Amino acid sequence: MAKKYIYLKAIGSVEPSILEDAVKSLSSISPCRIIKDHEYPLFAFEPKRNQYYARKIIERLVCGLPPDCEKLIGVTDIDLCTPVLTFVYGEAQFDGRVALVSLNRLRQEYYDLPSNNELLVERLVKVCTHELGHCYGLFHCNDPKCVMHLSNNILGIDSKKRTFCVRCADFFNKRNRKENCG
Amino acid sequence: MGRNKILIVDDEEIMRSSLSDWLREDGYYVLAVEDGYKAIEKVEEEDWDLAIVDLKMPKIDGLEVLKKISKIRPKLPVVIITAYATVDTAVMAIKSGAADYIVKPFNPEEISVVIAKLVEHQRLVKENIQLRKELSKRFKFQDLIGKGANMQKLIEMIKTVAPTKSTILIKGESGTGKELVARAIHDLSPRKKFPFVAAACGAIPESLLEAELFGYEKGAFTGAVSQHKGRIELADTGTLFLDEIGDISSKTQVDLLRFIQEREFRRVGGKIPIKVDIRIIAATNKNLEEMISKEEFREDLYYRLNVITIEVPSLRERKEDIPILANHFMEKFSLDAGKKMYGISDQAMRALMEFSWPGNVRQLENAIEHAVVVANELEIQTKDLPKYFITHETEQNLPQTSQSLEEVEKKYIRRVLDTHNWNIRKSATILGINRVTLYNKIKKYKLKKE
Repeated sequence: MAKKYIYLKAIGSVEPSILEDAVKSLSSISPCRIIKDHEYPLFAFEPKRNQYYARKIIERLVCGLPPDCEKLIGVTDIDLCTPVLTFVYGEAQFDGRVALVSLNRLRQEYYDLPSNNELLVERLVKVCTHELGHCYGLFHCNDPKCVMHLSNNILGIDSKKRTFCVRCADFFNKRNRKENCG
Repeated sequence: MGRNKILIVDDEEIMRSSLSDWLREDGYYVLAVEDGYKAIEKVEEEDWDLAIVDLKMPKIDGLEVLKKISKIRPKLPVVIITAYATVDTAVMAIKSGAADYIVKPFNPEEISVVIAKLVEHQRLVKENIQLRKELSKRFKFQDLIGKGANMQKLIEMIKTVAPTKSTILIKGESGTGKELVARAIHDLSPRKKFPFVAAACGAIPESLLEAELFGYEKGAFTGAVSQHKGRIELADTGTLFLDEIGDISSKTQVDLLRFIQEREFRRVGGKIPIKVDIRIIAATNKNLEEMISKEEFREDLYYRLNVITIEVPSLRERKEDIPILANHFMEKFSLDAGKKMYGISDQAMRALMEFSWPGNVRQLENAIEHAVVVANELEIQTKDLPKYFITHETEQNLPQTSQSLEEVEKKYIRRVLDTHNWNIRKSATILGINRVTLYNKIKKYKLKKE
């Protein structure tokens, strides 16, 4: 059986070093690859909110999955929202193949603080792992340290670990094995 | 514990799907409908933990939906959402009973806190209702009153069998307190924190018994407008008490036997087998062994139910308990009636002791209730006891000693029925038995209205 990868797809302008560092961490979950798309998703822009609808971008990403793709996570610098939420750090197809993560509100600069790339990668890995968890059918977790715990602000992201709790890890591994075995 | 259920009503598809997806990631069970009428229908059909209702909708607006939902389920919290917030609509929503009013799009932090708080509040409300129900039914050992040897033997037996998982068959005449014994077993068992669900098999018409025990799916038969959990499912993790088990049809006997063997069942009209963990206690006033020999009761079901047998003595077999029981009922009913009563006269007590009590403790309870209501002195007198009682026992109309108990019972039942123009409800109350038992006795003695 052909080997399958988790793809990280840069959408618009994303610093390559950030993605490369994130991939190093995410490879402990599953083998990863990076692809790039320099175009901005203007079709998803909502002028009234000056933000981009995450779901519209995800719908477009689903149409262009590489053949050896297990899951694909879009990573972008633009600010994301949904019709009902003022912003999202990330969005995923629950039990699906595609997720999307925004770096916009993960940067220290967003909070008028000096840039910190190490912290940015740490946050990106957490949000990517969280959204990946949803793609594998995981709900939010009550354990505040688990990466699947719901975080509605940046402090919430910083206070949880980048790993799954025992229960979520067990579920994730079973699903991961099942999907890889076809 | 099952997932919390949230109902969303919004006419915009994108809003429905976006909010549903987000709540599902949080582990909620979500149903989204596009108009208020459908939402009202869903609230009528099922129990929900929270409803999120859009304010502006074409067919029926959110405030009208809120009012209708509040009438159907007053305790269900409703959050009104809108993209066009005004102070007037916010005030109106809260005045109409909305739990909260939130403007779209939501700040994720704000909506998360609101929903989590309301769902938790709803869980506590439901838990409180359940605990109150349980508390009101909670068994007190003093409910089983009696100091005689027969009663003490019974209490010891209850204490011995309660902690086990075994199925129990309680035998005893009508009115002896078989349900009290079943409750005592449940409340002394490790399942005491879980439900005790009783099903009076003889009182439920045969056509409804299957649905009542096993539940049904929506559309399983005419009138099944929503899914209904049966007594077996409701008793999961607790105890199921099947009263008057000798009165069930042969078809229900087969269904019950299959359930007891496999410990799983399907709702009527349902395809998915449901597994439950319940302890079964059955009770009967009939001679099941005799019914088996007449092929009226399945032998295999009898042996499944009769793992442990408990016999509840009739009041005739524990006459020494009559004074303590009579005084207990006098205190209870005088308190209920707001009357000061100090006791029962010697003559009245003698009459109580000499009576045969075919309806057992239940009949004694009814007799004392009657006496407390009519008494105009501080003590219950013989004249205060029910009329049937006085004419039979104290006017020297006692049956001849050559007559069997069955003959006496037959004559007595006929007399009560004739006196009350065969009014079954009234006669059953006077005899201290339920209507099903009276019908069975009429059939047994082949009594007819002349």
